[in-house]
Amino acid sequence: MTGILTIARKELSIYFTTTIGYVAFGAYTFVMGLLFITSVNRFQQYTELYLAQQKPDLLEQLNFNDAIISPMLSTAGWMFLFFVPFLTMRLFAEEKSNRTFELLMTAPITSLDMVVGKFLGASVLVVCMGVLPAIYPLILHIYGVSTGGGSSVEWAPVFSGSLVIVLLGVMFTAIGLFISALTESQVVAALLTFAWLLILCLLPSFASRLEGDWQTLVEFLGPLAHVARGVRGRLHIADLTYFTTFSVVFLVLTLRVVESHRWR
Amino acid sequence: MIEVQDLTKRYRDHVAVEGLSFEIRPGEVVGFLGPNGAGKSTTMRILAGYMPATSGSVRIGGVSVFDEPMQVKKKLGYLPEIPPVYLDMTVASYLGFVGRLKKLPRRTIPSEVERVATTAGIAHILGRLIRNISKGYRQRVGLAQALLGQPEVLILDEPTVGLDPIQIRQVREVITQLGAKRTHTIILSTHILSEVRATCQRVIMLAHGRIVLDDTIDNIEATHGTNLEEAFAKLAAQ
Repeated sequence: MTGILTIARKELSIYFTTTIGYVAFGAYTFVMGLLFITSVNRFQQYTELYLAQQKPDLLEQLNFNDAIISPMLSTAGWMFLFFVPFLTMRLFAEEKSNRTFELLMTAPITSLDMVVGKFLGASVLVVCMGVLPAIYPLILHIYGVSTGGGSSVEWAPVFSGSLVIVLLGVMFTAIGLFISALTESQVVAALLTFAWLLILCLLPSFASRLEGDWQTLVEFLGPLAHVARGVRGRLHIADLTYFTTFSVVFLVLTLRVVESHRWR
Repeated sequence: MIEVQDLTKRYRDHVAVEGLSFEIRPGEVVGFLGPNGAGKSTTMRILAGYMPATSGSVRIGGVSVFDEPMQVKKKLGYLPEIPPVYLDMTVASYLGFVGRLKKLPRRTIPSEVERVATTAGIAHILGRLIRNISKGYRQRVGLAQALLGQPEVLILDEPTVGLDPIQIRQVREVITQLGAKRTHTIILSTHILSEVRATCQRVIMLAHGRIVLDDTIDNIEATHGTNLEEAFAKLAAQ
């Protein structure tokens, strides 16, 4: 356990002694903030439009969750596609190219300590990024309450949405970690991870060409449908199982790759 | 302290080392000498538990490196050919990290870091980022890392390579002082003869993955005369 924490702490500290952590967080919060402002503006425009046109039924349908929060959470999922490869590329590739891998391999820690430690270190960052979009509903809530309008934020979809976004980020991290263990080049690791994640996200669009069970299977393998359900507040055990299984499988694969250095 | 029996390492059709057998007593300082590609680094990496051997056995302090790697690694300090330093850490945080990696008692780590930094002559640069220090200092940070926790066995792979003459002398002094204490068993590799002469009591010479000579410096000088340079050149060419 101490081995895991030692590695995790080191990974996390390197993100913040280099610019990686700041750049990732800065860019991510910037894009999310921009998205929030535009969504709120658009929401206001529609409200004014419906009021002017006197369409109470449409006005009734307009709500924070569908108009602002869900799109933001879904975007956070897409953003991980770009940010996670950037965060995971160095995990093993840098150790190998800098020859510090030799230090880890000759230290009295196990390969499992190494893999889980690195995974934890990167995951802490990704989890923070996944939880961050929950600030925006909170802003809406506080603003609504303080102006006397009351809060019209539904919290269940915010919680389930944040949970699936975090799980998605963690799963992407496990995939990035695995690919980083395969190569010595950080650039190759980042590009391969990005390509892999992109293909995974686009799987459902290939599924339409298939039929029967194959179609169901390929659709199930794409992460975004699982994210979409969570964001809408409908969390299924199958979705949670999907994310955990994928993460565990890639962690086990990473462990095998790292272990293979001990008998090569 | 170190017993190596019939050690062989093959990479597909290339034989890196073949049939190495030797024994090193506690407190001995042994130089691995040989031209580039003789198998020095491979042997040291196997001893340090970085890679497995194709066949043979290595026991350190009576424990097999292959069967009980965790137990052996706790007794080892290893400096690979390229110092394994993280460029984005300060010297102090790097040494602290290695201390925790070696599972030293948490309370002793700060004093241990100070001790090895003083020994390696880097106490004045503890706060600097490794990225910003010279190659010679990085090498010494690597050496300091190996010394953390006072390991019984030190494996130093070309500890002076790439250093300027003054730095070479300083690193050699550190090794000589450690050797004089007789508390560490030290193996160091080099292809520089004068280095072995300056720091070691005994030489194991490798060529083409085999041991061609294993004797004390005094004995070698007695049999081959004081012109060791020529004697080694002949052996290496064999």
